[in-house]
Amino acid sequence: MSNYPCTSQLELEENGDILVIRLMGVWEMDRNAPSFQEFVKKGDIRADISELMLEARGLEEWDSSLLFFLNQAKVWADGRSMTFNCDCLPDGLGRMMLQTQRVVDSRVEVKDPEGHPGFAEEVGKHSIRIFRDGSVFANFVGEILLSFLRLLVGKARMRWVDCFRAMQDSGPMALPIVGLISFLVGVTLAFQAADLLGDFGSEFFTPAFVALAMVREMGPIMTGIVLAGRTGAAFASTIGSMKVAEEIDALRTLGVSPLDYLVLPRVIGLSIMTPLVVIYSNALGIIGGMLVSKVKLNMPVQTYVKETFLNIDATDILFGLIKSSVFGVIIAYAGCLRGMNCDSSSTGVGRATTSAVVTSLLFIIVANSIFAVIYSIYEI
Amino acid sequence: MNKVPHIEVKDLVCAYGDYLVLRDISFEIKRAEILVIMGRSGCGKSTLLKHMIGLREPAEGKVYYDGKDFTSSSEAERESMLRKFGILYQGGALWSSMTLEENVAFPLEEYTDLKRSQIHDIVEMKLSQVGLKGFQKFYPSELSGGMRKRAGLARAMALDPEILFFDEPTSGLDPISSKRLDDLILNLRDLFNTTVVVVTHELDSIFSIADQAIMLSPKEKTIIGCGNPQELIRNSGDPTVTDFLSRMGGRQPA
Repeated sequence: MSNYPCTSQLELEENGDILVIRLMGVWEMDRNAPSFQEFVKKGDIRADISELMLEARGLEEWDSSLLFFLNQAKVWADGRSMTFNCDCLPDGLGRMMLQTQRVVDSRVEVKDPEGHPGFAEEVGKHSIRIFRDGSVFANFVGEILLSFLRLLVGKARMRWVDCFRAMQDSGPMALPIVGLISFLVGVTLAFQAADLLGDFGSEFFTPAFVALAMVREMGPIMTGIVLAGRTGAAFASTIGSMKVAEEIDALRTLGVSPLDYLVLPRVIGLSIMTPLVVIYSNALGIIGGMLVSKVKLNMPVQTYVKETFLNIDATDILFGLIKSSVFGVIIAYAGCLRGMNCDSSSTGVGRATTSAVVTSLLFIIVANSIFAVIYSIYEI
Repeated sequence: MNKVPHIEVKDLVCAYGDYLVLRDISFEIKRAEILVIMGRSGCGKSTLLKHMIGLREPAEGKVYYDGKDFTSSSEAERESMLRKFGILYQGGALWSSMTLEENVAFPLEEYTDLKRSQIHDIVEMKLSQVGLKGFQKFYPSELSGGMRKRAGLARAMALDPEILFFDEPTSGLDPISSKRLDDLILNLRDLFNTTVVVVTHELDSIFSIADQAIMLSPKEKTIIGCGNPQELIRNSGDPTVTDFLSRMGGRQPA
């Protein structure tokens, strides 16, 4: 405070049953203006005071900090049913104060004060939210199925351009990143297998290990993760922004179902494209394994290829492809669901995008486990 | 003449979940009448509009068009009613992945059996009506806010609707464009007997186009004034309405 030659000052004077507060100096927010509460706490104020009077003869400059002080004073005075006398304040200050007061008064409804809810309340709220989310998920599945049925009987108006665009985005456009990731996963698998199997002197099974792991698990999962991050997020943000701009409303009021028009093409596009990308991913993974086997185990390429095809069969590949088609549906489903339920704001779009990715990853992993159980029961 | 009001809203209650927005909303609009829904920000004007066009389902009450129940109509009935609406949304709500031409053509492709060339001609005509001839191949993102709004209007007018709904049509437009839009609304009404519902709080527009106005209040959550704005300003009896229409009569807000 000593840095400033002139700071805010107060003087208190009791004049009969009138409490006079004199405001002086410069009242600025960054000059440590006093708070009214502290001021009241410090000064011993007699109980029989009936009027609070403010004077500002020595006041030099002021900003909102003074306004804030005055408002606190007014609330304090009103709380003790004192007269609040601001007649001696400069004109502008008085008017400004009145305006602040009025804004507070004209608020129609004050939102419930949200303090810290109790533990039980939190648990209850969360449970309700989970149930509500569950029904939202289920509803959307139903709506997509209905929309698909409408398409089958030729009643749905689908936007094929969107379908092709979804296929392009999740297919050709995603190949570089899917390729790189799959290749590296293949390399990693091969290193692990070579080390682990080498301990038992059976490095020779490396091609089998890489091929089976890629085709049955890693190919579909890695592709699913990349597409969830790329395409699923894009779906959520596109549809979410359309919702914010009322474009979805504009479709609805034309009698066009946004499900048929926007969601269905994306679901169909991804369910077709994902298995195709997975085939590519499998191939790149196996090539990665081949490279490691060649370098580390000195295994000829022909042997590697022969071993690979000896150990996987059509069922394994089909298993992975069916799974990945389901992953495609999940990604499109999660992306569209989050987009359609997006809040109408730009943060809403961001949240929708994030939660689309999280939802699809979660569902992909869950679906993958279910597939693992089903296939193990039927011993595929 | 037909005695049945073109639009009738009866005992409408609008709520978002438990949160009541509006209650006891009842009014009628005759054919070829221009109704303005006005009120201060946050009073539920747009919400009321959304309930009228079926984007939100009322908590209670009904909306009738030509005496036909819209609220509890079947899907097919509702579709045939929606076909007669033209709606201009606040930001235009053009589909961003389509060009202006595709945007305006969409309702025509959806509801008519016109040939491609015919649609092309109609689109050109509608776009020139709103002063956007030559912009057919532009995407919405390449246009200014005002142009998007006008293009939205061209799309709303594509099917020669019987009822036009406007959600804050002149907000964000310069005075000249606002005036043009107001004139266009009046022309549409005079030429095609279009019934028009406008949500706005722009006084100039209210006084130049409205046959009838209803004023909503966030405090009472219902209609607090109803009638021709010229008469409302003189004898509504409610100071809130008079203050609104006269910009507080030039007084300092008290």
